[in-house]
Amino acid sequence: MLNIAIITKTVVPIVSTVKVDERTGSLIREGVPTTLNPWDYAAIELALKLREEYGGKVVAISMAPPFARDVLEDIIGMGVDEAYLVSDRAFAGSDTLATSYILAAAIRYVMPDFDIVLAGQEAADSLTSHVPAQVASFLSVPYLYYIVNIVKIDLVNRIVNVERILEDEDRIEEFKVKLPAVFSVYKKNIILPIRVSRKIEAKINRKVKMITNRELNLEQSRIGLSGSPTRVSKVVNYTLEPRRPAKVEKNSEEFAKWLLEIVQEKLRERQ
Amino acid sequence: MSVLVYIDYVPATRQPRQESITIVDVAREIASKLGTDVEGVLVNSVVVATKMRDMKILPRIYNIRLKNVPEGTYIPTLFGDALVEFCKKRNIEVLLFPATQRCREIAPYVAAKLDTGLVADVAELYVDERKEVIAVKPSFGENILAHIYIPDRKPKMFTVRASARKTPPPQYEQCELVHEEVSVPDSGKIEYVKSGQVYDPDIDILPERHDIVIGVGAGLSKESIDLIKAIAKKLGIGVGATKKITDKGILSTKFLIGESGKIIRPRIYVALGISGAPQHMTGVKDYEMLIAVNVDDRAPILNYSTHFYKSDANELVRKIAELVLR
Repeated sequence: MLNIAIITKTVVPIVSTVKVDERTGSLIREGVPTTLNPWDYAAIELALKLREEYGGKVVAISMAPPFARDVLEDIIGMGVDEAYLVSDRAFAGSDTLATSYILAAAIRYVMPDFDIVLAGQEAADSLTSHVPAQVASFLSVPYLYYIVNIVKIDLVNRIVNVERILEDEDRIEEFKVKLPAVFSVYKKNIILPIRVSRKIEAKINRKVKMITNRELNLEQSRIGLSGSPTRVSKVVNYTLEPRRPAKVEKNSEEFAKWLLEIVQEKLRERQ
Repeated sequence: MSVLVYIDYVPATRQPRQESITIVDVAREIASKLGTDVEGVLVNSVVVATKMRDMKILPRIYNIRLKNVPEGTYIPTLFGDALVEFCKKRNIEVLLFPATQRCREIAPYVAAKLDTGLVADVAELYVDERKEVIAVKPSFGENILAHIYIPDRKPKMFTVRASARKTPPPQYEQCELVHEEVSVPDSGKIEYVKSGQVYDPDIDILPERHDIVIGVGAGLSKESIDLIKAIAKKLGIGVGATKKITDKGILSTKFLIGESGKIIRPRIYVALGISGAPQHMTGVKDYEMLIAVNVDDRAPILNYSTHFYKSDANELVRKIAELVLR
């Protein structure tokens, strides 16, 4: 039996629609369409696979404004046992540190006897990869990023051997980890499609549950804007003076030759 | 008060990462603007510390030694706890990490333990008139550059994309090497078992290794991209890609240019089938020539180009392949 908590994020698929509150520097997410972070599918898939093999329970936890409920309903449809939306006005403006603090408290609240916390490698909109390590820090458990494979699990001693990939070092590493632990799952480890066929039935039978700060009872100084060490000083549009390129009028063979000549000339200069 | 640079290395080979060297260039710049010292720190390797010392690019390097842990053993919580203990004893203003995958793993843990802020994957750092260190991070793709800072906490932490920076020249007569032992909580909960090298046949065409780079975008088929790789190998130039290409898995993220990928400074950038979205273009800087090939002669890439050729890029790739690969 394994108790698995997945931390997921709702992200903005159409990136250009995001606006920033100029007063606080926080993102205005209301009214912006959201979807499940694409890299979280890998974590959900791994969780369901582990439950299939070893039994146990899988819960999904997401911190987001109330409108993210739809995304969690979809996750229930994929086959997780329970889904929790962590949402409160007091949480608004949280950076990654405050978010991790809140999520760690939510995991303790929902699944105090968790064995594994799984997350996607990064969020497709903010790309920080901070949350899994910081959640592990607040939960005081070991963690590893970029997991590609669970080699074996010793359920009696609660020890798991995992393999992870470091793409920028071309290296695979194996570790032996005593549970409970936090893992982020390598983003290209997705074996789609997930079991979406159970979606509608599951959605009817199991509702997304809400967690607010009434349940978690966290100090204001650790959450929201006041619990966030980072500040956005300004947000600027990326603008540039447009260039006026020379339009090359040649047939494709001439152009290919012209291009190669330029490249080879520069290569000769270098030598 | 100091600016501290974390030196990342490959544990199995004890080779410092190139980004650990180029980030010193960023650190020196920030330190001189703040009027502080710059120092380096690494965890548990005399070999790496000695290699870095001999480069004389930093005045002082600390090697945090871990009792009973052999060199070459890496565990994120172990390295993180060692750094935390080291930082607690000192007045560190700024702590910089190269944005390698290992550092992206350690830094957030360290920030949480030190209860301080961290900005990820920073494209650029500057010091403003109030002497505040500000990180520029492209966010949410299109058009947004967020300027983020960390008031009232120390150290201010940043993971910085420094691969496009130059290797800083030796600047110090001597580099002092300080070995310092710290005791960290028992890490018995996680054990390093083994590691292996995955052979990467594309290593010699990675974009940061070349000053001529062909960029490939969504306008190219997988077959065309395979041809481009072969052409690049033959000519001895680099290949870069947009996020659409790496997300599809056609090329690995090592080829990714722009947001969440690499920043390069090529002399010539040949943009094939690239529309020119800002999240890609923020990664291509200071080029002399940008030659774009696209079917759409109103694509944003024109705003960046020195030369434009209207064509299906796939057709052009076949022509180049005929010339180069025959």
